[in-house]
Amino acid sequence: MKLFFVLALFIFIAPLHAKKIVFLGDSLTEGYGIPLDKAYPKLIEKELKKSFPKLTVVNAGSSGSTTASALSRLKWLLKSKPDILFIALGGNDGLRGVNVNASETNLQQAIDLAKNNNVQVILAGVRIPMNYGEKYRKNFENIFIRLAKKNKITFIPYLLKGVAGVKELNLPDGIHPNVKGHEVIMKNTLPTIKKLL
Amino acid sequence: MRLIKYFVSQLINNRSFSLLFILNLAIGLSSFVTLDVFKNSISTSINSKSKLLLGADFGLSSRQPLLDDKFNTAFDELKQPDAETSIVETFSMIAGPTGQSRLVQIKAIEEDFPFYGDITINKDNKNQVGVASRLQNAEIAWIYPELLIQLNVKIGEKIKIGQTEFVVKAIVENDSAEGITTSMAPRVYIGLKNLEKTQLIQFGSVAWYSKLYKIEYEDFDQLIDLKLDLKDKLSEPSLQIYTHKDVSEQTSRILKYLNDFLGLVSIAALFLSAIGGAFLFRSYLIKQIKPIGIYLSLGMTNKQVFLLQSLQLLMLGVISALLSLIFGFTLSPLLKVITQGLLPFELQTQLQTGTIYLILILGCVGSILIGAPILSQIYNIKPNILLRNQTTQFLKRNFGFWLSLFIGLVFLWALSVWQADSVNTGSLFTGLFILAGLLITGFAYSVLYLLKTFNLFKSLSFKWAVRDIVRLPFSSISIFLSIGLGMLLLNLIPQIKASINYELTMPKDSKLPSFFMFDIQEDQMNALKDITKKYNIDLVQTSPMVRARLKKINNKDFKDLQIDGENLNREQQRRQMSRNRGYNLSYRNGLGIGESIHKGTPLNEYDHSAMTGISLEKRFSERLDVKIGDVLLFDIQGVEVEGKIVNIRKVQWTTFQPNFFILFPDGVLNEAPKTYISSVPKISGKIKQDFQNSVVKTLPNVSIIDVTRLVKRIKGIIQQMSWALQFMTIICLLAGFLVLFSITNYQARQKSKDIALLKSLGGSFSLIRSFFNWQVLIVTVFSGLFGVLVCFILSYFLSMLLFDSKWIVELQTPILSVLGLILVSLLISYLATNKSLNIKASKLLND
Amino acid sequence: MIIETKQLNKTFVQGDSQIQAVKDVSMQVKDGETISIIGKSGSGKTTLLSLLTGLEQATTGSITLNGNTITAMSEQELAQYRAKEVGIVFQQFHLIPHLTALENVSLSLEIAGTDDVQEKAKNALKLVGLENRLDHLPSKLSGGENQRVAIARAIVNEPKILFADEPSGNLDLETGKKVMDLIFDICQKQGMTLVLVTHDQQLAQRCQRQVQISNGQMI
Repeated sequence: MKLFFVLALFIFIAPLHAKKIVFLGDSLTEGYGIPLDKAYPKLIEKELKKSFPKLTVVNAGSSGSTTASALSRLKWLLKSKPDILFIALGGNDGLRGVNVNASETNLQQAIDLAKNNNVQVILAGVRIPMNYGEKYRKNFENIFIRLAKKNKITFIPYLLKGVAGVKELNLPDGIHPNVKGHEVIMKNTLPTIKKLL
Repeated sequence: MRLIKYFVSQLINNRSFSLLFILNLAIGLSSFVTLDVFKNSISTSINSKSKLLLGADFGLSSRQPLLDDKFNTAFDELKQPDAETSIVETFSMIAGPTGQSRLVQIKAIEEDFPFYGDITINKDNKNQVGVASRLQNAEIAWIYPELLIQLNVKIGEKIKIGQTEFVVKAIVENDSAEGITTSMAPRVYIGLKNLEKTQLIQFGSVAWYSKLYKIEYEDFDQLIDLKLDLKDKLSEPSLQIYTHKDVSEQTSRILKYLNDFLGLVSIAALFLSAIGGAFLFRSYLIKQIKPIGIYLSLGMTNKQVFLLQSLQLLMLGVISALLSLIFGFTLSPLLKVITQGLLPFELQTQLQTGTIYLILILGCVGSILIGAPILSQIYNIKPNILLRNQTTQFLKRNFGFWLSLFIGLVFLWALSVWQADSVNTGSLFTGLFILAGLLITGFAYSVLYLLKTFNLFKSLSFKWAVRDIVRLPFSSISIFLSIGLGMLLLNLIPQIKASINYELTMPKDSKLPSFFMFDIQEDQMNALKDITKKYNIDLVQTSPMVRARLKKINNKDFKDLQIDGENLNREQQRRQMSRNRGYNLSYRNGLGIGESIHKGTPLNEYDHSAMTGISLEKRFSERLDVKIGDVLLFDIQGVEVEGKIVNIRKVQWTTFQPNFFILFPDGVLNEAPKTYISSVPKISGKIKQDFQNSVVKTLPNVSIIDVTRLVKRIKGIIQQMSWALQFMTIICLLAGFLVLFSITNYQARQKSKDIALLKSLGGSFSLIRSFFNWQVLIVTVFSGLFGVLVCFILSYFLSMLLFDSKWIVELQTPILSVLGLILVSLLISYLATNKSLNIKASKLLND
Repeated sequence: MIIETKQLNKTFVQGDSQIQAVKDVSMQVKDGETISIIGKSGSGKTTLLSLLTGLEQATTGSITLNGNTITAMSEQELAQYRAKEVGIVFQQFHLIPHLTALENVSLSLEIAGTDDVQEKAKNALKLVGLENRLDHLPSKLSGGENQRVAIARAIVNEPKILFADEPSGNLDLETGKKVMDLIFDICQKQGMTLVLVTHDQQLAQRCQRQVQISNGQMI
């Protein structure tokens, strides 16, 4: 199959679907270290299909990506005409100690683009581990709160609520959730997404 | 037995044989000893390097705090470490006195870290060994030099780590235990006691907890056993257990190369001396047929003669072994003194007990095995030769000949397996050597046939020479085989060395990277170019990187290939993880730096009509178990892309350039979301710092990883390895030439009788000389060429199969060695002929 | 009878053809007799000698020496028998070049496993008149002296039978005669049986009996 052909197919099929949700994220969304169909976007799709059989979910998680990639990736994803954009980015910015202002600007640009294209946005808050220092963590956490308020978008304060730091829900690396962890994330986020539908 | 003395005096009487045989065997065994000394020295050196990298012998790491009692009980049951120390590593944003903050790696250590090597700090402009206990007593920190600028801090000022302020006491000048992996952030050392005060480590923190151990061990296998036992006992998937050797993949890869190569050289040296020895012994025993006939006529049995002749060999073998041990004991300390300063590592002069035994065994068993095929022909000798004067029956190959040849080859095989520590590798060595022997014999036969059929030169001396060679096929072929195999082994090592060296070739210093940069966004490329232009830097191999997940291989769900089920063991879990992982793809046309196509055709430009071709890295394709023609289907952010493997690439890792497992041609993925990675060639000092700051300021998301230290370290190891290769090669060349010298020398001495005969028939001196020159020329030219030719064939297989490297043809050694062989043989023959010509014919005939 | 052969045959295979070197030889030699086997070169006399000395094995037929049938012996037994009971003197002397005269003689005793090696060897060499040449290597001795050493070696074990293959063939006339005198002298003194192989009629006549060999057959 050639890419352009797939693309055409992709665009062609899109209008037939009632709703399309795109998850724009990093390794947490991609499901790093676990099977593709066990990552939380797929779990959400399974759950939602019970009530919305025509719904589709695209997992656009990309390991290692930062908020800097949000805008260009969204441009690509908009071609498939999504209805809902779930943004779960920023973890890598935090881990690498990127200037918080830069991350905020990047996310704001992506939100603006989505809104201009009539895509509903869900923003998931990302926090960074305690060891990064109180000040930086607070600054970082505040980005998401500020963005949610300012843009009046649906907000999930903490994507990894109840998952981060719990040994049983994470892979041996202590950073990425395991299969059980992804189930928790699904439960964390499902009600909010359902409300939007 | 009273008869032994007669056989001793037989040896003394045949002084030239005895000395050359001993010399031959002693050279082989001495090379073996020397190589063993080298092997031990180098692996000790590389070992100690890997110990330095870890700072310890053994370690455990986990993302979870390590509970003492659990490990202590496990260790109690296995092996008590001599000392242990704990380390916690974590990333944190820390702030300098002006409020400028920066991501750093905090490494909290205890007072006895490291066990090996040291952290050199610069304090008050003086370099000194950092004493880790000082870190424990007060809130002080040692920082990597780049942080002085990045945090805008001076020595004596404070930095804020978590909730606590630390005084910067020194900068880290040299960190032997910096680890082989590089980190994206500069390091700050603090005392483990003070880590708690920072409050960085609490629920929700991500840190790397390690315990490092100092464990005295005699044999590295003990550490490996300990590692496996602990794995079983603790059975904790999140726990990493490693020896110091595990710390560096490069180091262990280099060690494997080196070990295999050294094994090959050792075996080649022994094999060389075996060939030389066998040749000498054959000529010697042919001379002894008459005396043996006398022994038999006087009532000795063939068995007695066989045993006594074997005893002779045994004596020679023991003398050779003792000589080479004396050489090992006396000369290697001398060698140590000579090489001090020249060698990048210290020579370990201690011979291992195992080596001593092995040399003795090799001397005894080896000498017998070398002679056994010929010895077994003693049974062909009948006492009636004294009346009949015919010796040809001796040369008939009997059952004993083939049996002992077989036993000898089995012994060689066992030795190769033992040396290489692998059945496959050992069998490969042996198989190729046997193949070489067959090939050379085949070539030799065809040359005899050609010489018989075509009359190349009309001259009388040439005709005589050809007739002599053709009419004594057994003797001629044994000379062809001996010299040919000698030339082969002599050339093989430099040839393999060329291939390995190619693998280890590093680009010029200016081409080696200082930084890797990740996560450069497409729209940031222009800004980045502006910065590089400003600092006059040429980026190397900037590559787009597209994240994808592999969904299908040949239309079969990749998931199907995984092991399903909940109860996966650790190995399976890890495998599962690696198979699940998304891959980073890139696209470009043509090959990048240090790349070559191992198999298949180059990537064609994408033409929108057919399925695109893709290129896979060799090791990766092996891990994925795919081959050319297989179709892989990727999911790129919800879009499926298919590609058919058209080539398998080899990537030379010593270029230190970032590379990709999977490559698409330009044009397929250009629309897909991507980031760029790039490497920055060597830059230094101020520019390095300014460039880094400039990138951080303008492109805050771009990660810069400083690889200078890593590159420097590996470069050191590679240089050491190249040096070692060179040295081994010289040893093998020397051994080879000595063996060839003894063969040709002995051969020349045996001519005296023929010379006397020709002289008595009235042959002129010049005719006799040119007759022998032709003989030497025919034998050396052909056997030299065979040896070199078969060497090319063998080195091709060895490079491919054993060293996994590109086959490089090195022409210098073959040309020089063939020329050397011919000229030296002609000279030896000339001298020997001259000597014989000056002796009265009757005297020679009487002998 | 000290030597008795019955229907002795020896056939060699040379390429495709068979050569019968010894044909139906039946002969008897009495104890203490001196006998010469004469024939031209290629007549089969050397083969007959190698059969009689056990250096070669007969194709068919039997040889009995001093009551022992050597044609029925194993290689091992034959070797031992050779060591103790047979002495051979060769045309080319066949001394071991790296051993002194004394050692060459001692070798024979030591192979046979005898005691008092030194003394016996010295006595044997004295008997052949070489008591002053004990420590000389063969290359330092004249042809005649070499053959004397060989004779000493052949008789040192006091064999019942002495076999000699053209013992004077490599020597000049005078020396050859002296060597032959020595052999006959010793045989007579020791009561040894002598089997002399030669093509020299005159020499053959010195023996008590002559056996003619032609084309492998006794005439």
